[in-house]
Formats: sequence, C-alpha cells, structure tokens
Amino acid sequence: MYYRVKKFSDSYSNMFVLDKDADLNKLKARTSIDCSGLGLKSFINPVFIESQQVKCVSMSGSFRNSDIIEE
Amino acid sequence: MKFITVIALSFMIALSLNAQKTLKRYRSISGDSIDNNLVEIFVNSTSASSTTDILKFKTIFDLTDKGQQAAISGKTNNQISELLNKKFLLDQSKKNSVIDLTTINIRITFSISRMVNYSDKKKLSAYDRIENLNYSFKLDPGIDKKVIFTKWNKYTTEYGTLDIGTLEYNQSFSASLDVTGKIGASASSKNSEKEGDNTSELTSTLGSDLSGTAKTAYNTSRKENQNIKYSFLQLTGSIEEREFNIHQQGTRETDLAGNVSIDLSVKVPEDDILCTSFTNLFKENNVYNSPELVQMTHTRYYIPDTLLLKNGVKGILSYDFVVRHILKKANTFPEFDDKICFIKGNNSKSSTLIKSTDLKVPVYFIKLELPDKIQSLTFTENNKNLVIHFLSYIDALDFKKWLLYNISNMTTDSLLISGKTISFDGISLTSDEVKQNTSNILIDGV
Repeated sequence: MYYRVKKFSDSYSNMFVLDKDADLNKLKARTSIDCSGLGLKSFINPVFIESQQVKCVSMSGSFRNSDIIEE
Repeated sequence: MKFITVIALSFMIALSLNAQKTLKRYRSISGDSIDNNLVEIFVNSTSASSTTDILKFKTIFDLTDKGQQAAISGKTNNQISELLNKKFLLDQSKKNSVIDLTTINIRITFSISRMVNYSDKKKLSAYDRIENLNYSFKLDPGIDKKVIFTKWNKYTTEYGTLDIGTLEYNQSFSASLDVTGKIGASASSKNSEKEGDNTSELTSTLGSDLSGTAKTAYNTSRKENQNIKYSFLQLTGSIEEREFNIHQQGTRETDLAGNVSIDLSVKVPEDDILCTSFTNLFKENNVYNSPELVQMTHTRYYIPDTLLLKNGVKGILSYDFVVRHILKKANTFPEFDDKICFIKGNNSKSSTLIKSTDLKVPVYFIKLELPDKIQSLTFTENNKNLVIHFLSYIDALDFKKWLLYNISNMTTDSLLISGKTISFDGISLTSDEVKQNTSNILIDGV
C-alpha cells in the first residue's frame, strides 16, 4: 500500500496520512486533497518514494509539501 | 562694613542665581564614549497558549455557590463524590465546526541588566543608570512568512500598574542680610519619597554667618513632583507584522535596568486535523451505555504546523542604549549636582520567541498492533476510513475503556456509533483478529 504523508522521517514512529492507494500512479495523480486527511498511523518499516506538492482544498487552496511512502 | 555688605550681596546674588535655574539633570557633561557590552538584554517567553478556549464540558464547580449547594443537597456521600467528577456536556449545537488554535499568546520578558565593573573604580559608579533604551525584535527572515505578530495587549514593567506614589523634589534657597545682626545664607535641598503609607525624607542645609549692618532678604523655593507613573508611561512602542519596537526613556533617578514584559499574540501557519468527541459513553453511575446511546461528533481544528516551524519561532533582538555615567557625584541624592558623561552602545542577538515544543498540540489516537501491521481506529465516512483523533488523553482513555467493554460484549457484526462504522481501518471490531489482541489496543499520540 502507498501512503501520502505530511512528512516522512525514519525517526518518526507515527506519521499523518493524507491519502492512500494501492496504485501509486493513482495516488500521485490526486494532487488536490482535503488536508485533514485520513489521520495518524504507526508504520512498520516504511520506504520513502518521493516528495510532491499538493493543494489543500480544505484550507483555502493553500499548497503544502507531502511525501509518498510505501509500507 | 561697606566691604562686608558688598561681599554679602555678591554672595547672595551668586547663590540666588544658582537657585533661579530650574532643576538640572546634571552639573556638567563630558564627551560621550562607546561600550557595546555595558548593557545586556535577555529574552524569555512564557505562557504559550492558544487564544481559543477548548471547553467541551462544565463541572459542578462552574455553578454558583447556591447552585453547588442545591446540586449536592439531599445526596449521599457516594452520589456527591460522583457529582464532583461529572462532566456536564455543553450544547453541541453551539459548538464551532472549526476551531482555530493557531494564534498563540505569549508573555515575553526582557531582562535588562547593566554590567557593573567593581574591579575598575574609574568606571564604577553605583549611581549610574540606563537612561535611554531602544530595542526591537525582528522575526528571522527564514521563518515561514505566515508567522506574524497580530497584536500586543499591554506592557508591564517592574513598577507594574500600581500608583506607587510621588517622588517629590524640593529645592529651596533663602538668604537674609541683617546688618545689625548677622548675614545668613543657606541652601537646602529636601527629598521625600512616598510609597503607600511610607514616607522617607532627606534634608540637607548649607549655611554661613557673617556680620553686617544692612538688612535684606531673599527667599526662593522650587518644588518638582515626579509621579512614578510617568516612569512607565515613558515606555512606548510600535508593532508590525514581523517586528516590534520598544523605546524606554528613563526619568530622573529611574534606572531602566529591570524586567519589562509584554503580552503578544502570534499567528502561526496552520495545519488541519479532524478530531472526534464522544458523549454518553457512561451512565451517571459509571455503567457502560450501549452504542446506540453514544453520540459521535467531529470538529475540524486548525493547529500550528510544526513541520514548518521545526526550530520554533526565532528572531533577532537588536538594541541601542545610553548609560548616564557619573564621573563625580556630590554627596546628595538628587542628580542635578552630578558630573556625568554618556556611554552609548548597541548590540544584537538571536533569540527564540516560541519553542517548537510549545507550538505542538498533542493529538492522540487508538491503534491495534498486529504482528505484521499496525491499524488505527477509524470511523467510516464517504467510503473512507478516517482516524479517530482525540485532543485529550483522558478522552482517549475513556473511549478505549468503553471500547474494550463493548468488544467483549458485542452481539452485532459491527460497531455503529451515530450511524458510522467503527473499525481498525477496515478490520471489524468483532473479528477474531481484534478479539484475540485486545491487549494490543493502545493509545498513541504525537
């Protein structure tokens, strides 16, 4: 499963998931999202894929960085 | 006799000319010098809190005395004990759907100190004082542009807002020439300080007696009251979105060393989180309510985006100052007889206004740890499993307690609260996977 998180770090035990999908391309294509997201999740050995900027529809369309990871 | 009269008159004129002048701030002034390390300012900020009050319930202590008395009237000790711990829910219809926690109130204290060099007597004067101080705090250019100062509420100095009295200066001069008796001349100065009911007074008199034959007299006195309140009215300032400035001007005998505090509101970049609260989990006697009686509500919170402010809110404190250095002091309390010079200087330093840890709003969630994955507790909305977040650890603990009881007593296939399915991200609470791992249901947070 691929996850879009607010910020990836090896040192984080929990990360905030904005979006998720089993298909990486579909996940990457969704760049306009509700930034209240899906919520907090603990990961086991996540792998960093790439960073991507998204538009937060819930926050007046402001942009924020996000990281895509795989677990 | 004529000679004595002339001397006496000259003496009186000289003294009276001196007394005619308004109270001076010094006797003489020498050239300025520069010492950038003479004054130091430390910044300390405290009381970081959000301007929004998150009040989700009331307790019996919110009632008036009469209300509390009526509430416990006729109840047993056990009932009273239960009532004391009870949380009365607020009207949910009046609750905001969005709560903004991104405006932070802080109290910044500037500790201003003047270095005193006891080893160098030429530089040391116990009566030196900081006379003028201008300092500004400018947010670091690297700090996210969404961080702005929105307002400041008040200044506070160590004098506080108390009217601590009036500092009264009296300078009087009197001279008399009595030809048949004596020539007398005296100059006196008197200081009295009142603080509440306390009064302290210092009077000094200088005089001389001469003989003469003519008779004349001259009297003058001058009184100047200095309201101590003025000393903090001299504190002026200005605020802009990314910086603020404060200017302090000392009045006579008021050293600007000390603490100055300001209450400042800072807006920080926002992050977005949906939090959940449950009501009616328990009956009054702590008996578990059934799921259909429990209500679930969601509130969107704007919380500080700590990812953008990993190092907190920092800035540069810059200041310039003027110290009134006494080169030679007469043995008196007032300042008008001092020989002084001004020592000027300026300095700047990096200071942290809000630590990143103070910006963090703790958010809790419940998770199930399985051998190969960790699943968060969610509710289903629009075919998505959204994590149940709590802003309070106690709320998370209450719900976990209720959840564990219901998992072991559930007769239905799934748990529904307010029409929404509760699961561990799709794993049903009635599944064996959950029932066999209830000891791995934990509360976690960020």
